Amino acid sequence: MKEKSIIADLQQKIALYEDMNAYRELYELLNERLFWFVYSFVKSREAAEEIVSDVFIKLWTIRNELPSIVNLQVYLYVIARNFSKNYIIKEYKYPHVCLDEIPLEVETSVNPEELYISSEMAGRINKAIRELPPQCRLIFQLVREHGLKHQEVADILTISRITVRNQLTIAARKIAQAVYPHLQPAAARQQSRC
Amino acid sequence: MKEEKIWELIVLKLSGEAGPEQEAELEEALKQAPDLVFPLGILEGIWHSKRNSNAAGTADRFNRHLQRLSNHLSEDVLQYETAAAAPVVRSSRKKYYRRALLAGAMAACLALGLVVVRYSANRQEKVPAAVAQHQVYTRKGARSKLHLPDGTEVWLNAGSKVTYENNFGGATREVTLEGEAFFDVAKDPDMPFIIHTDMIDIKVLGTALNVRAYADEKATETALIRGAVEITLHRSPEKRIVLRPDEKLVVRNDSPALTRPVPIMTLTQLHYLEQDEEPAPMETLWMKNKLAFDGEPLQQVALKLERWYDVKVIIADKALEQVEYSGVFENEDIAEVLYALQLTGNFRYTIRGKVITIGL
Repeated sequence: MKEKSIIADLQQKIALYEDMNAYRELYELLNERLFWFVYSFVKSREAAEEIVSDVFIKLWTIRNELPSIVNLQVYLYVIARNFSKNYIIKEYKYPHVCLDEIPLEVETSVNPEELYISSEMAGRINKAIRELPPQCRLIFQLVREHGLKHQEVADILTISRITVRNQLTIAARKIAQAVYPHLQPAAARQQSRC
Repeated sequence: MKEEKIWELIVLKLSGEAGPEQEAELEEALKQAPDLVFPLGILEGIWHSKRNSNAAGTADRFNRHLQRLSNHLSEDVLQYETAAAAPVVRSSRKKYYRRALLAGAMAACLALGLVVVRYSANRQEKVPAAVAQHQVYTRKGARSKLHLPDGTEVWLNAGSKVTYENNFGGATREVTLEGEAFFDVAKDPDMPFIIHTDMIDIKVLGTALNVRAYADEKATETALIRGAVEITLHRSPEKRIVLRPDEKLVVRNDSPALTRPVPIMTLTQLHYLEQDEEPAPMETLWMKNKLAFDGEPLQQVALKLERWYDVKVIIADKALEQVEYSGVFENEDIAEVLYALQLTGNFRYTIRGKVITIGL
């Protein structure tokens, strides 16, 4: 919530005063998240950096229209997703591509020191996260690390809110199962799809 | 409660989307399923731990981004953007003014006025660093063009002055402008070109722009033809404005009155004179030897006439000062211009030698 109002404030400063400092703050706030989001589609650090840069160039060129954008963060993710798609079409010379069908590479993991858990357990948790289906992992990352609401993730990925919730449920169960293997029998029944 | 339902509630809670009812429902459910409490605690820990962010690399990344931004401003097409990419797309103007500029350059050469280069190395009391200064200025009624040591071309309008240090291009490229000039700045990404005026500083990376900063006028104008510039206002240095091609920034020269909230600056699009074969922005017509007024108050028109024809214009009636005039004149003498203006506005004028009086 606090972050939302920070973004809205920066959005207004950029629109009204062409405030370069606000532009920079917004970049610093969102650049890394957008980077990892784009990276999961394009799987190249160089391309991901370029695409995120293009997203922010786009933001600057439409600064006059910013006041009419309701949720800037979601808007930037949507642009990032579109640019990623265009990159893939261009790079692989596909006539068109459906982002839902391409394999994703999502970088997300937990840090044992921060959680006061053994590295052995962190290893199990990270293995569970790695083994989540890519789309599921991406949704988990967007909600957990990027702090997006279920509806926002749904808007960005053009899926339903229910799908977002179901995917997160699966992720949570799989991770819990890694932490506490006794849960396995119950959880195993539910792992059919993700 | 079904286990599936419990997990849904857990996810809502972790995502911060559970309402008070759902929170209570979950608490109740956990009492029935105590073996979920421990994994839930770990999950909460995982959920709220943030990945180490690479803040150190962000500054570099942002700088690389700024470089790309300024390159983009001169190219205008995003590599990965297609028409469908974003709901809001702003169209931009065609780039046909390159040749117009050349034509303008030739016209300006023909109209070459008096150029005076004065070396003031001996006036060291004014320049503590003991650096020699070059001053190039034009008289009223004259225009001129000069080449700076780095290859930058500068067209100077009437009654204007450009100053630069002897070591220009050594460590920095900086000039000071009083009056109006058009700069076609030679590209050098490692050494930004900086134009200082009374009100603003303009930082340039390989660009063409028109700057109008006459001390006796109400505003300082920067019109960008191509490339990218970053403008800093002396009055509020925290504001940095990046201009796109075809944009013009107008900064008021006077302090804004507190009672009348007028913005200290406004950003507009350049206004092209479309009737020409090769349309050129109104702001650069002077380079083509054309005197142009673009909806300007008579007060401003008078100042332009004074500089263009080296005359003195007196507006005898204050009521006339704010009446706006538009028009483009080429090869016409002052009498013809005044006659034409008089046709559209209700005033009379008299010419006595170099003094023109306009009244009701």
